[in-house]
Amino acid sequence: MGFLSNGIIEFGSYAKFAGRFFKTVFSPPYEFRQIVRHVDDFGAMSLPLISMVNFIMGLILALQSRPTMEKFGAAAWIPAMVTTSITKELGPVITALLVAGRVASGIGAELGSMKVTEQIDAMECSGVDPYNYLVTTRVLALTLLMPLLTLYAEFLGICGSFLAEYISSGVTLQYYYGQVVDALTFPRVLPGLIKTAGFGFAIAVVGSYKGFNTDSGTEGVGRATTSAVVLSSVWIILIDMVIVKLSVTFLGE
Amino acid sequence: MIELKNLYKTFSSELRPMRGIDLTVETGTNMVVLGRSGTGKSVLLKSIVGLLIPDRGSIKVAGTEVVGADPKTLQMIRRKVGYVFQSGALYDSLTVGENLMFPLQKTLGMKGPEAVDRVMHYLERVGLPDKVNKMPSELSGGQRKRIGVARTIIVEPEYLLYDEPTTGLDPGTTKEISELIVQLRDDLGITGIAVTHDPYCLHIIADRIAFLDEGKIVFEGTPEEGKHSDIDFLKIFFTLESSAA
Repeated sequence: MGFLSNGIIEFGSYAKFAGRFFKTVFSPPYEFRQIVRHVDDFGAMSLPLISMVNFIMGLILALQSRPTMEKFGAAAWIPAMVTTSITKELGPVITALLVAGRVASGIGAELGSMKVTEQIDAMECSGVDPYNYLVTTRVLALTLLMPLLTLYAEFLGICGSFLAEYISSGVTLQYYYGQVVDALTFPRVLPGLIKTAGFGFAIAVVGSYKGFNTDSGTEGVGRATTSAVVLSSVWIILIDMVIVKLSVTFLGE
Repeated sequence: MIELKNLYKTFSSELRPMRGIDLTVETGTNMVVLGRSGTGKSVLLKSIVGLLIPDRGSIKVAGTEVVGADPKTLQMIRRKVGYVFQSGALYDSLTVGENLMFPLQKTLGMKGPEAVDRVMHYLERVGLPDKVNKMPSELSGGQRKRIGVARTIIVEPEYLLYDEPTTGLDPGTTKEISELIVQLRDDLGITGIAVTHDPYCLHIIADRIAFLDEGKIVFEGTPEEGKHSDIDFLKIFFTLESSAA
């Protein structure tokens, strides 16, 4: 019972914390330079990992699908199948989980150490709203960045699958490209991109919340960092589940 | 003038740092608040600048009420009251120059050559003009504190709150920081409230002292009066002060 009530209280705190974003994002001062800085930081932080993992993931997906597809005489459908899998589910979710590992931990650690060394208090004393300066800018930056990162990751995943197919069957780039474009329909791509914005929002909010509520010195910073990654990963899966259900209900796929 | 009246703050049944605090700090003086560790001296300072909200009571800074103030009033109060943090609280990701520029831009909206000149002026004031491009991680503890003071006074506040300004510093740096606090009072007329455990710092800066015990101010007077009081803590403190001086 205590666990349940603590959970509800915690959820309420998150909701309140996230709610402040919508209040501050539309009110001045607008910290454009900070937003650009965070987009740059988060992008640079995640890009190498995302590139490598998504390329290899596309490659593995194509390699693993071929024997089964061949059994059913459907090897020609591999480009479409891989593209659909990557754009609808694997690309967005894997990219988000990788970003959660890199960025949520980074935000949690940075804000957590700012909290324990009184930098956030100092900012407040300087007449600056720390939430607006530190949280709103990060949340907005990651919400805007995630769809772009995902598009890039999906492109690399598809490139990886082409490489696997080229090695296995000598498929031409022109044929593969045609199959991929045919598979990229609006209802397949759009939900995937929308949910990545939700993932970005959740990752930045959870990381910031954990950082902002850090206590117990450096030990607390470590705890905040770990739980930022774990919780944002859980939120990614929950948001994914909701969007998939909505997408199946309203778009039919 | 800063006036604290009947201040109460409770965190839990065991942790009640303020249980009816009354204190008045006259303009142009340095008040030193003494007390055992964990008695809520920092809570007192943080309440004055609105970082913590007392459960009840009144805090007036130059006649303006802090408790229950709306964000705009609070911002106006924070423009008048600077806070020097124990660790310096410098922004790790900014250089020393950017640390000083931050409150100038955000509080006063000052930019360009005028702001740069002011940054250099205050760095000279604390004796560290050559550190303008250094990162906080490249500074010693004493330098971080001095930069922390410069960042606070750059917006020219009327009041300064010092949280353990000399803790963990060598005797030479302690003397420098203590003399800087006196200079700020004498040259700029800044009213100060300092929390310290350092007898030497007290000896240099204090115009008046207040002793906080079990959530209340149980003694308030000049250092001389404190020296002759019958409170054991003050007796020990002033014995140490004499040997330190």
